[in-house]
Amino acid sequence: MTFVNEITLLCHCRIQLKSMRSLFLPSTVCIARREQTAAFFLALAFFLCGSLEARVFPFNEQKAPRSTQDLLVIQDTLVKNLQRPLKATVSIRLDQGFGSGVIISPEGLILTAAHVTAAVGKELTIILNDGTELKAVSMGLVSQSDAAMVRITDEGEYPYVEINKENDYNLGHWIFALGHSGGFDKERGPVVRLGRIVKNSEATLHTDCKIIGGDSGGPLFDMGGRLIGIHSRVSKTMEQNMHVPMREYLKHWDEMKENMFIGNGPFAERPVKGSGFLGFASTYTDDGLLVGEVLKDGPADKAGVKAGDIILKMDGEEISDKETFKAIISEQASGYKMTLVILRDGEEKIIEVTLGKR
Amino acid sequence: MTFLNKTAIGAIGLALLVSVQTLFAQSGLPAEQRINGKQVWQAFEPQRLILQQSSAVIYTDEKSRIKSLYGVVVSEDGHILTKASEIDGKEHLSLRVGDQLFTDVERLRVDDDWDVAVLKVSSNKVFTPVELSEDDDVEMGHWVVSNGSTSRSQRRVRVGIVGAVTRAIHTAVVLGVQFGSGDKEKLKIEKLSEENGAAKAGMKEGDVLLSAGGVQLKERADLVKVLKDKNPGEKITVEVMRDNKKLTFDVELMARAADEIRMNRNDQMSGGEEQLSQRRTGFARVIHHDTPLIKSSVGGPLLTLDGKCIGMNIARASRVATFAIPAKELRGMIDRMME
Repeated sequence: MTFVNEITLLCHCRIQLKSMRSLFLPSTVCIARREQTAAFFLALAFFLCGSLEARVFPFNEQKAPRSTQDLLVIQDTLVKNLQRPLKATVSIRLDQGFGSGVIISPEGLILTAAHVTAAVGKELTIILNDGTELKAVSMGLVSQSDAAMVRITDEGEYPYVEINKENDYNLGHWIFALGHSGGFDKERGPVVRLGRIVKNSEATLHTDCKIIGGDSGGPLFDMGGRLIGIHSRVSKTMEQNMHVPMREYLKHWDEMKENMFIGNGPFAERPVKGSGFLGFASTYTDDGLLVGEVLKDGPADKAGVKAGDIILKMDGEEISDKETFKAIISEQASGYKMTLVILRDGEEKIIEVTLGKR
Repeated sequence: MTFLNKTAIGAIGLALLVSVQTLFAQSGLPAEQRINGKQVWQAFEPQRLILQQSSAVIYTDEKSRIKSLYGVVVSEDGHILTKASEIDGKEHLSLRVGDQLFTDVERLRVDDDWDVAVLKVSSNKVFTPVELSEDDDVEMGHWVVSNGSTSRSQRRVRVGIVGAVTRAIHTAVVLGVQFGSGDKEKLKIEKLSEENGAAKAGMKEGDVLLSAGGVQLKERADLVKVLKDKNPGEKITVEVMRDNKKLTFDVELMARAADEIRMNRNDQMSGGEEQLSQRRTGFARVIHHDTPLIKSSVGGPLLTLDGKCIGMNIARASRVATFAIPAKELRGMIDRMME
């Protein structure tokens, strides 16, 4: 099909209102119009995306597969393009539970969901399919759309996938989802699901690829194996599965790389400086900062701090007076993990406390 | 037609033309075109015909109206495999193959390991059994076809793909203890379940676990690792500290009791217990696929595009997974059951 024919067909279809309506109201598409439909879709795709290099699959031009042959094309394409995405799909271990992510560069840059990392600069563990655990740290995130970036800090060369930068994924396109559903399971590996894009809005892709807890942050691919989305959330019905489209990541790419926390939720809570607290009363004595009453079940209590302990250092800084202590605390938000060096019964001990919310 | 009406119609026509592109972007995909929508199902007609002839609809009510389960026709004489636990204790068994109803149905044998029952229909009809695949396994990404809904005369399909590695599914076992929520004394027992092994062996609230199965415990994850590959009925030695004394107990491991299952978030997302098969673990080998079945639509054949039966659906395990017993194991079972 030449360029000229496509444009002609596009104009032709636009003028003929009747045939166009039949394109969008599924029950009235005639078999005879199939060629026209395919041509129109191809032309429209070209028109909207401006690139004929975008991979076009025959099954994405059809309303639905019509024969075993059509189904085999979908199956063969999926099987052929599954291996690389499988290897690059990782599990992310969190304090409570698991999420998923996908490696997008050989150095170990990972895309995931903001509600999985929940913060910038957080230490995480990445698990590869063979069980290898890698250290990683979270980078920037977009809290209103649920996009986030992570990087592996252990040096190595990692399996990765290409990102779809062409924004050519549309309603009705066949796609597949990968993820570590329910958490990392070495015998099982990542789980693949097939589906179609059922709704396509600026900041959300809806598909009928069923996802579940543990899949959050995992990858959604076009049938060529290019990354088009990241799993975000589901509704109660089987059909509503929501993913963050790649265009959202591309929009905020530099900001995420620069470790910025964008927006005010709802997918991650912006840390508020000075909102963190330890949960104990203290007085400054000649020996140092003496812990008095410890709030029961507060952050310090949970970490094992006891009345009578002397706080020598916080995050490596010596506590020379109460002002230093107050200054350090006021810099941190709830959720921050602080390292304390304390003196108890003549012995120095290291205790890690996660700051609570004031 | 007045001038005003013509203009109105023209305006609407123009609006439709202009809004076509936004319509395209924002409206949803029609239900018939979804992966389990009527238009997609039409492509699976050859496989549906096989289900029409070689799958059974199983009823457990007296009037043969309420579909309880599906089954696989495995012999010309009318032997049918289905999921045993779902028809356990049911007196009135009847089934439909094609559009014919058969009420003379008896339960021949049950295989508890696989949760499979063989039913036998007494009739003159020559049945059409499924063609079992010769392959041991099926590749990830392959289409699979199962029984979906049904009318009295027509079987319908539900489709999906093989989603993960074919493997064993262990039944999770528990000691029957609950730990406190704090970070310190992570292995101190806060509560015991009276029905389970730990309480029965004599463990008490306040005991702090030191080791299990010979493995020293430092984190709760260590205990999870020890229990991971154990089976219900196995015994394990547990060491605890009580009042500064070390005590040892012999604990019988049990499957999480049905009423004890604190439904985790994934189970809730999967529609709760009503949608999942009660027996969904403890299988030596299963094919894992993403076909959205419910617990009353398991038991039937699992077909691939070539029409071969590569398994029998045995459990709806979660929102994203259905398990099937592979053809290889079904063959073994059929040989044993029909001796």
